[in-house]
Amino acid sequence: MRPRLLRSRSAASSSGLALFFLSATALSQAPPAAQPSPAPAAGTATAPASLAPAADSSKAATEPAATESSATEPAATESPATESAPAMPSAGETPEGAAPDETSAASGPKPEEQPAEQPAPAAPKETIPAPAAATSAQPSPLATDDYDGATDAALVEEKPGPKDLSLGVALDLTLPLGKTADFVSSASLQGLSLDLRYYVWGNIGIGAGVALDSLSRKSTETATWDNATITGTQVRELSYTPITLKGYYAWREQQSFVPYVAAGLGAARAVKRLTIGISGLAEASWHFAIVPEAGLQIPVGPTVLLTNVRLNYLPPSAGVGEHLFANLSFGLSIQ
Amino acid sequence: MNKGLLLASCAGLLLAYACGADPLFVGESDAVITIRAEGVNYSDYATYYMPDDIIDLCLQPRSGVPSSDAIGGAAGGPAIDPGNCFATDHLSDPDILDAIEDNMAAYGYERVESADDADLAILLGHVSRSSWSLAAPYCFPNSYYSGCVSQENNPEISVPYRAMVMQMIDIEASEGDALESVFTAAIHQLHRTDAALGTESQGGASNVRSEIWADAISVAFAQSPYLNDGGHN
Repeated sequence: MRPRLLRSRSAASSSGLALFFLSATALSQAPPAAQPSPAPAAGTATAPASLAPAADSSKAATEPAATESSATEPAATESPATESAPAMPSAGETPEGAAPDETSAASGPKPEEQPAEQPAPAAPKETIPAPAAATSAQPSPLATDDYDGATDAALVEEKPGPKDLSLGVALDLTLPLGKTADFVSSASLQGLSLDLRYYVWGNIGIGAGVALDSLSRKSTETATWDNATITGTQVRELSYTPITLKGYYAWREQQSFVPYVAAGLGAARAVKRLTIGISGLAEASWHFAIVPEAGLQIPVGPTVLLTNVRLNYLPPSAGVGEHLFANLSFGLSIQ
Repeated sequence: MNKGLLLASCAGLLLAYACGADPLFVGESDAVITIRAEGVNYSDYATYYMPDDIIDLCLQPRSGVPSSDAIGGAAGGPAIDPGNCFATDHLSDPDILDAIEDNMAAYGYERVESADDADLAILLGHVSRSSWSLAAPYCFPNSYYSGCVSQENNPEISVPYRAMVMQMIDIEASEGDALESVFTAAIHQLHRTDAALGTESQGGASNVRSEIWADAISVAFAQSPYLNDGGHN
């Protein structure tokens, strides 16, 4: 028994090797993803059956249905059988050589339970790669579509752009303009702004903004405050808190940066201070606020950089003169 | 989004925001403040009366009606509160009076000996407490000049200890104890210590201080050009 078994195994090996070459030839024309591992064909006749799950395991995750059909459907195994038959040593030896395979494949499909009567189909049924090669040589339309769509070349990396809802926080550079510059003439980095926006209709969005902006200047000169004239070292400060509702229009189809314009309307509290010696003079007032804005959102990795320019006009209110200043903001947007 | 990056960014923004306005230091507390009364035509005044001394300003009620009998400066007698009043330097008083007279003369005003003959009364005091409001009422002792000033139209400005406060009173417009102030000036030089002046070992601090007072008084008049041409228009 042992020599015959060895011989049988040798025959099975040669038949398996022939199947491997056929399969390899057929698979060489198939997409790489459909190629079975060479290990099952290089082993004994029992190897393909026992290794079938392992060989198919790579495909099982993606095409379990194809694996089942190749093992159970006779139609799928007939064509490989006819192709592999000439390469087999003899029809009489094959059943004996296939006998051990039946034990190992006892739990397999029904066609493998009668190897003596139907030896030819048994070989291809034991070697799972053959049906796979046949199916690969004549791939179904469904499989073809899957492979075409899965190629790396077909993949396009999508850059994350600004989303519909975002909250921005930015550092404001404030520049006094007009009569505001008469009290404090220099720009200041004392400013923070919060910006909440939601794009409701495509490129059109709504939102709200609040800012805490200050201007200050330390100097030694003569200042006037109402009916007082003051000479000495002094600190002049202007603080603004504009609270506005905004309308946005953004060119969101842009990938590398998203330009936008906005218009804000609301109210602003203005506080004017003069500190001299041990005294501090303050004048607080509320104003209507008109705040046009233009800016950029720049996606960088997981976050979005935000920069914008705002013009703040606060008309005269309750006997207090107008205020005019601009903001140049740099910050981040949270989405 | 990376929360660490977000927190770091927010911290950076707050830090930048915190680096705000430059503060004022003690050595930068010198100031000359003048306040004019609205609607006053200073060309109506030609003469003024000014006492020969300067009182201490110590008591200043924050509420109620000031009374000349009960409230006064440190020189006002029984109303003094020693616990809250500090000693002031009167060594420069003559020079201060001279400087004021010179500047008033330069603006065309004539000093007279009696208040009855004057259009204006110039009343002076040294602040002898930690701070003094230029917007709160106070009274002068009867021995100096009877009456109280309301200062209700002045901005909320306070001056520190050692500041000098000058009130210019329209005598004709004043009724009883209610003195009508038409001009207020305050000069403070908190950091002008002897060490700062470099004169403590030379005994010449008073002279230097007198010069400083004179300069400051000149600044007060210079920044109040509306006082010019008093009584000549």
